[in-house]
Amino acid sequence: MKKFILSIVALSLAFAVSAQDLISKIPADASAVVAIKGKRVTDLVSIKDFSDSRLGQMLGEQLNKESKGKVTDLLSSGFDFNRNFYYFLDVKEGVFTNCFLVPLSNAQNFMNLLGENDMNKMVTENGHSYIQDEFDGTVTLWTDDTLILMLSKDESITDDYGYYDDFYNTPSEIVIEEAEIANDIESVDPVVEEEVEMVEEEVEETVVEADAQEESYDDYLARLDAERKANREKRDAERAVKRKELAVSTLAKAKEILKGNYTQGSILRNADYLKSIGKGNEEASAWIGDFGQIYLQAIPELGFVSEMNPYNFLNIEKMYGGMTMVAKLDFEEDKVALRTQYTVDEQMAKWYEQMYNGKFNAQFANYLNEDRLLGYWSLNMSVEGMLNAYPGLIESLFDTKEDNMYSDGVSLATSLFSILIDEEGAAEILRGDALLALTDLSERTVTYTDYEYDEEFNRKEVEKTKTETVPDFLFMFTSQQKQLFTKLIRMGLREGELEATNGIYKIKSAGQSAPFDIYLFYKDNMFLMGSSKRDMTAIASGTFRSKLSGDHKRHMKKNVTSMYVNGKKIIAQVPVESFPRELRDKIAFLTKNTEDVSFNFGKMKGNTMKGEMIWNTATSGHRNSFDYFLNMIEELVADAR
Amino acid sequence: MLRKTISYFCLLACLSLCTGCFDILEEINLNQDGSGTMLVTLNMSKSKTKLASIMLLDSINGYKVPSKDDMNEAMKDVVAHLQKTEGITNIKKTKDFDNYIFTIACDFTKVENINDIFKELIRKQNKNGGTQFTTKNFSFNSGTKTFQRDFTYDPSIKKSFARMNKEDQEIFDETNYTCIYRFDESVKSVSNKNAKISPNKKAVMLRIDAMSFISGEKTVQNKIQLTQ
Repeated sequence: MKKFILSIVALSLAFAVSAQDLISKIPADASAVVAIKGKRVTDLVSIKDFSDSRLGQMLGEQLNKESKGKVTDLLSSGFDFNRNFYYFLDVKEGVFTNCFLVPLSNAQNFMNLLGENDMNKMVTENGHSYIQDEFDGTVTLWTDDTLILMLSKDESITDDYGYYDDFYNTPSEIVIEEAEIANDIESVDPVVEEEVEMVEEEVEETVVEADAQEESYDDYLARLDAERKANREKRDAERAVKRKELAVSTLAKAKEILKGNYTQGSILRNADYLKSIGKGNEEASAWIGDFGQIYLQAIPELGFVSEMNPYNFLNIEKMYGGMTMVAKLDFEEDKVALRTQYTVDEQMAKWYEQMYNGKFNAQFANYLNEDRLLGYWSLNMSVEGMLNAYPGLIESLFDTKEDNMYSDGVSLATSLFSILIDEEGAAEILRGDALLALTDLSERTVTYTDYEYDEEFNRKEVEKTKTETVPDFLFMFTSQQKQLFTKLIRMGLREGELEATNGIYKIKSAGQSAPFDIYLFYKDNMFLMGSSKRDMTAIASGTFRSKLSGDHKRHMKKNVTSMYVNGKKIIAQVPVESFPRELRDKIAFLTKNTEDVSFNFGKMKGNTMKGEMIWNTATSGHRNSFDYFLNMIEELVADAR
Repeated sequence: MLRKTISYFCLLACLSLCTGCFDILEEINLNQDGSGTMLVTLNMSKSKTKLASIMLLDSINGYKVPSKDDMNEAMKDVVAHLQKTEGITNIKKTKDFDNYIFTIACDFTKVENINDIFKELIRKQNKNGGTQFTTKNFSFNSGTKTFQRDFTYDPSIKKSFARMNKEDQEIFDETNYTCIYRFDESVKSVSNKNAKISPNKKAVMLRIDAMSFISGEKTVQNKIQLTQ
């Protein structure tokens, strides 16, 4: 019984909290939702500490300026930063409604942010106030604890394109007449201006003569202008009516959102949303329910560009149908993580799976040394899978299920492509796995020409040297076509483009056109190209000392693509004079506070793909990663203000 | 795509690591009758690593990077312009794309011919930019034996520099402008305190750094009095 009572109390509390949370005002069928969890953010850095930070002070100054001194900082802005902020997109019948839901702690303070003009337009009724701008479709509606900022756009209300609208909305016989006149004039050789003018006069005379029986040319132009003006006025009037209708429906929608009494329920009834967002320990999240529906609604069916619209030939549903995305931003103690997840429909997933089903060459890791490594980018795809999947993918994307020559043409081309291409053969040249690494920063002595002067100030060219820091890179990809590379190297040597040195080949012209030398060779089913003679020679002779952590090896192997930047090492090794002047005295701070950044994008699992960007942050002197960024801004913009 | 990625990966690293600077040399050998030769040299050799990187890109900091063909065309245009200028003969140009050194030399029958080269360009700049640059930059009075290098500083130089972004401004950190004038007669005096007279008194050298020139702190203005 005690447990039952406790459960009832817990449920009631949860209900009360949920009722306060503005998420209950988001309809279940919203297309996209962004959430910023105020309490989680203020737990990381209090609003007072944020206000006292450089960024907070800058925002405060802006608020002070905008409110003419009524609001001096974030604390007096009226927003309740301890509650959650939301944005959602609602797409229905071509009307895109962007809605921001902002919790308020003091409505009067928020009103201080509004300008005099806004306040004059304010309407107060039934416990809420609102301001509406009919022209741009915005509604700002608020109560004591909630602010709703809405922006609606009806895709069927097109903007006026002036000449184009005039031309395309002009009766066809007039357009044809004009086009004929223009063609007659354009057909004349434009090189000789005088001749053109003479011909233009002749054409005009001819046209006037031809039309003289019905109306003069001036009358014709006047009629054309009048018709265009009438059309323009008609279009403007139609647009105004539509804008008025949109304004009425936007205001009604804002009021409906404020009530949050949807027959279909709130977004908390949307199973896809709840599944994607999960328990939600992140500070911010973004969710897009169905890309396909958004794209379909975004593409106007009518309009002067309709015939040229590339989407007419593409199957939007195939491309984006069933595609959802969720992104979560998490400020942890020692890192910031941005994690994304894409879900695609099953057929798309099958194609992507083939394309991303690469096999990463483990030997690449044998030619990296972590002690010197500045960063890398790995690619782990399957060329054979891509060539197998592409024809089906492309054919499907162009299959509009309508009788148009494009889908038939694409289908024919993809069939031919499939017959002609030897997928396995192509994959022997390029398997699809590759690694590009910045292996080191090395000092290189470069010569330059300077002048010395004798006693008569006659100049003499002298060659001087200076040391420059240049990056060393290494690029590798798997290829089983040794013969092909042997032939290419033989040709390069014969043509004098390559120079053999200790089992590696130097591109002779590279040092002149690029700031580094380039060496290349083929070894163990790998093609290698790099700028460090020392490393390349060691790799070729099998004496390279490798060192790479298991984490890096795993990221390269498990992901479609992986990127890593060793921020601390780069800042520590780059010469001070290479930094912008304003950062030169902050190198010690930057070196102490810069950590690694990595990005990984995983392979298809079922019909989902996951990506993760991790920005590691220094812990010493920073309470958490959010505090870290505020401190970095504090330090780096200190002199810029 | 891969080639581009590799190029950008490495080149952007190079661009951020290598510093940039260049020298401009203006040399005039003046004969007693007022005729002479002029040699202008643009030496960007110290920045050749950075330039080699930039040349591989299409654009940098929002500016289009000229190709070698573009530069060749520009030099041809300069030569064509010189050929049309009265009193200018024996035009020679050199270009060294390995070291990024470019020169243009010509003979003139009187120093005023050099003014004619830039006259139209300066007039256009003054008209469009509202500046007050003088169109008379060189003069020689054979009666008083006075050679004069004129230059009117215009605050627009400083304003234009201030409008540049910081990365572009840093290019001028180690940039120098050097003027060398050689004469048959001995030099009696120079008006510019930064100018040096050669030990044999037959030449004058003025070397100023770009930042001092931009700020107006130093000028190329100089009045050189030769012995009569």
